[in-house]
Amino acid sequence: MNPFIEHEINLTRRQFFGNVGLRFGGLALAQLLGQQGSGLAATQAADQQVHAALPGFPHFPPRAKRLIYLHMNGAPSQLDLLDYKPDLARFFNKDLPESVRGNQRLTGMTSGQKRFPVAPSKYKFTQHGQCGRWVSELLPHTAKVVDDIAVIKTVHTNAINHDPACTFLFTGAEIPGKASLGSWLAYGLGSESNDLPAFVVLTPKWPEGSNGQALFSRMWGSGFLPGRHNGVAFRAGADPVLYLPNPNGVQRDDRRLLLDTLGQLNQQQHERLGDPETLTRIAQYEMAFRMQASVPDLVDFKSEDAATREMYGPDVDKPGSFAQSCLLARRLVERGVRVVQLMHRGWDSHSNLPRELGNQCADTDRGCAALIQDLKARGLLEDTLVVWGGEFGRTVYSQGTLTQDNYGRDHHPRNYCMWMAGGGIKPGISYGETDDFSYNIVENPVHLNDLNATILHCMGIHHEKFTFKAQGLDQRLTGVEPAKVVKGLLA
Amino acid sequence: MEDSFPAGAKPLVNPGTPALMFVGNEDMPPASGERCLKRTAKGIGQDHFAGGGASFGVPAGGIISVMARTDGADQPRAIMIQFHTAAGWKSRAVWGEEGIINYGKLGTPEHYLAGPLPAAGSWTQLDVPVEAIGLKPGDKVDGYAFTQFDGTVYWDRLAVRSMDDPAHDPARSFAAWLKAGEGKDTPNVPPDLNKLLKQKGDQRKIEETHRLRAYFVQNVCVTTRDGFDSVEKEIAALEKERDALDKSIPATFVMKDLDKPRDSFVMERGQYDKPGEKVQPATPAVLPPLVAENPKRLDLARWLVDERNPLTARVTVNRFWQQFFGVGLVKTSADFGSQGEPPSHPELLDWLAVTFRESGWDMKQLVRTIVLSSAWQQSSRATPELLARDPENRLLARGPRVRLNAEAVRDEALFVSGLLVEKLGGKGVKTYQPPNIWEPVGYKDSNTRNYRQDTGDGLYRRSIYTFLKRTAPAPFLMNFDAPAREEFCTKRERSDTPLQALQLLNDVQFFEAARGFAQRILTYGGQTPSSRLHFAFRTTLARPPEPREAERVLVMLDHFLTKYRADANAAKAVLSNGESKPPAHLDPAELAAWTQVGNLLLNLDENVSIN
Repeated sequence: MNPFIEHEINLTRRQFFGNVGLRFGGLALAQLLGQQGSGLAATQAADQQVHAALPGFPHFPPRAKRLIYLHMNGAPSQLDLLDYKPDLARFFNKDLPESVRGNQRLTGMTSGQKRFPVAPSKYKFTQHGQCGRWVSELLPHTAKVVDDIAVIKTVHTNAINHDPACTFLFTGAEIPGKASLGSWLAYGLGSESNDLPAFVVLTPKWPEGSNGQALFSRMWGSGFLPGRHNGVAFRAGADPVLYLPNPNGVQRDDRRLLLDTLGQLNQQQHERLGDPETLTRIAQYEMAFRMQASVPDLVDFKSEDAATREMYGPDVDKPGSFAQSCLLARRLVERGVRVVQLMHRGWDSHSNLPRELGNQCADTDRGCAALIQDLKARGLLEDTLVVWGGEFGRTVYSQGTLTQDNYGRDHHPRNYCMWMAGGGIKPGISYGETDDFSYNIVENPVHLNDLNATILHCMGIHHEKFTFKAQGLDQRLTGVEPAKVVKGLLA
Repeated sequence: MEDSFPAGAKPLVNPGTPALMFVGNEDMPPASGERCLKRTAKGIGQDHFAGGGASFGVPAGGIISVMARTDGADQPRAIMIQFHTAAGWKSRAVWGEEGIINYGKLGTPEHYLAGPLPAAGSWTQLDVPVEAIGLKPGDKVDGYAFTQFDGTVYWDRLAVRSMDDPAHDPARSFAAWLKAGEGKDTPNVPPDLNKLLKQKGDQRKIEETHRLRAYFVQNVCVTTRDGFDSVEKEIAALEKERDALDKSIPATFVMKDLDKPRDSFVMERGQYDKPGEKVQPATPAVLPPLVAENPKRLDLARWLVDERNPLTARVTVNRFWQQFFGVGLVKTSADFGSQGEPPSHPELLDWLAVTFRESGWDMKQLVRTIVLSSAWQQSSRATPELLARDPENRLLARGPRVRLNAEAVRDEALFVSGLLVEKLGGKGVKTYQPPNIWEPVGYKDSNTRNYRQDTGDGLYRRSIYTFLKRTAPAPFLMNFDAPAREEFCTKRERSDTPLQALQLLNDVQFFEAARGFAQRILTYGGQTPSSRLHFAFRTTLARPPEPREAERVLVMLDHFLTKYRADANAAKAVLSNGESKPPAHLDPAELAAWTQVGNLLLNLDENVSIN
């Protein structure tokens, strides 16, 4: 974008905020005098957007207004979940043919192995839904929503280790410093919510015994974009937003009195110095006050009916569980939050894959499926995009000891499965094909840059026109090499 | 002994016997020297000393000799010499009747019968080998005794002689030691040196011989090794001191050039396994070249500060300018290239840059120059007209107005609260942090998986000492746009968000600071609400309150005073935030109400901004 225009936009935003503070401070006070009789409150008109979109955004009418990204951190095994390879059984413990392996680089964890014995999935696959999708017995709930989702079997990435791969997945670059997907969307599209952040990150608990990789704040960082577009990481429990509760002994009406006094003093300060930023600050304090009410309401699940709770399963009552986070994700997008990024850890099954993967699926399967069903039941799935997947796939050959019942799988960046559902996505399809070993792509590759281009497309954004000037480059989420929107995935 | 006991010795005699007596020619011509020792005794008589005088080393194969003369008219039954070492009186030689002097076990070095009494009436030299009386080479003799049973005895010149052949003595000759050690294991020698010692001489390298010599001189050679004792003690003490100092200094990594530089390549599209063109150290062609032939890091450093380098000084002063004014003279402070913005005040930038360089890169002087400038000191007031004509204040017709950096926001609160611990340096500290910041993201086995908050001083140090986990940085810093330090940052954002408001209002560090501030207000602000408010405004904003401001704040104060006077528990709860405890002598209701005022003032836009 032209730096001059960028400057103008920022200026417009600032003045907008300023106006909000100026105009509505007094007005709201009057309203609340009526409402509460205390004269101690101010609020902002509900139809004013705090997180405004950039002018000209979205570029075209979006199919999806919100994004829920279910990140399975550590890389789930496509071979044991969605990429069904019935013929593999006869290759059990045979060496992966050189012709298949080719010159693919391996991680340091298996490059020293003398053999690369094929480990067929020990799990039973059956067909589900109208579409007849083959799904592993590990995902009985996901199996119920296959007609609503598009499974992509041919996602591929550049990186082979977690840190660069996750950075690449979310920022389109392996080197830290770029903006994350959620920050790009918050920057471009703003948010419909006035009392919640535009971009929320959830970090649920994961099974204790699984191999949990570290998360990095750059996976939801704004990089070169203005810092206010950082994802806000909610914590599990009653106070998901930091510093939300008042200090011990301070009540809400104490706060109102203090904020009123603060607002008036700041207003006088603005009269003295004329800095529009002061008005922004007044507005932000008012928003903070509103968040103190709206966020507890957000995480108070009492209003959820029994049928909904049943859908998400008994874990929904456990603070910080994946199921609860899924329900929270729905409640967030319901309230107009633009992007919810849910980071579930523990999918890095180098050894004891059956035990670990079993636990991982048991922890997440029901929540994922419930989220789709719940969104659908509320009519939200139509314009909410849901993305599920990890940062890369896993190898068909076993890492370490291979038996009929136990094996491990190393990192595999050449192909893996993700699924998408909702706004703009063709439901009930399977996209792309891999070879008999799920080791190479045979048809319709989807590079992560293509996937991100497709996500932006669903959200009404031309990925090539969505740029930000930094370090001498018109930065894009999808990088400088050509990326394409995957038309075959679009409804 | 010759003519006297050694200097410093205090010779003793047995109780009830005559005093020590040396006689000269008038009584008895001595065997040598001027005088000789004389004693007449009934039973045992002796002259002796132990310690206090000089000590004497026992030579290998030494023979002790003493001149003795007995009186034919008053013949003793036995005469004896005795020697004292660290082990005590253990060495005795007897001439005459064995056992009549009943010291020591007969037939042992403690009572060695060296021969018959010498013939009376003339001087006789009596010899005894050191080994016979149990003295070992290297022993220190620090006392001796001349003893007799009955009679009159003259003693003269006690001495030791030895066939001394240091050239063949492995305890003194390095060559002899080497030869003795050849082909066999030498006890007590460290294994690596023993291995060298076993070799034939011509198989050793010069450095190896040097190592053996050093060992020999320090540990084997009897004439030198003792000299090292005190030195070694001193070294050990110094080493201990050094190690303790080393341990107290935090370690850091430093880079250095390889002795032989490795080849470097352009990696195609950044791929580690796709080396392209081989490259040499060089600078972009548009900039001055590196002058060194094989440039190293030091050459790069010199190049950076070379006066022909057009960038370093300009970029540096621009960053400082940016820090104070919010925007640099060159707005694109990270990009002085063709895509950057030209400076708003090129002459000023150049003057600052040259002055800075010529001052010897004196940063304090640069800061002083900036803050003493009219540009910095003018009012930040922006009239609508100024705002319209120059919204970003690039022309500096008004003073800057920017929000404080993350660290300064907290440091300022701690400072006005009196809680700030101004200790310099040391390890990173873990201040207040809400739970579940590190825990949900860290590796299971990471040593930073769980956040363990400090207590005491660690909670109140300046923010630059905050321990930083880059994957999950301290939220109180990130909230105010501090970088995570995962990549370089040349300019911080200055965002303004509701999360910042929540932090300043509710974060325990800020609310505790408000209480600390209230304590200071009540302690130093006089007795009236208005004098206290004056103090509070001066402390946070460096100005007195305007009447309308004072009026507003005092209304709030009254409300809280009334509330907390009526509800002691509410006051107590307000004061309970944070680890530090309020002093007991302050009225809790008053302190709680002023804590609310402190909280208010610390949250003012004016307080968190440079005005």
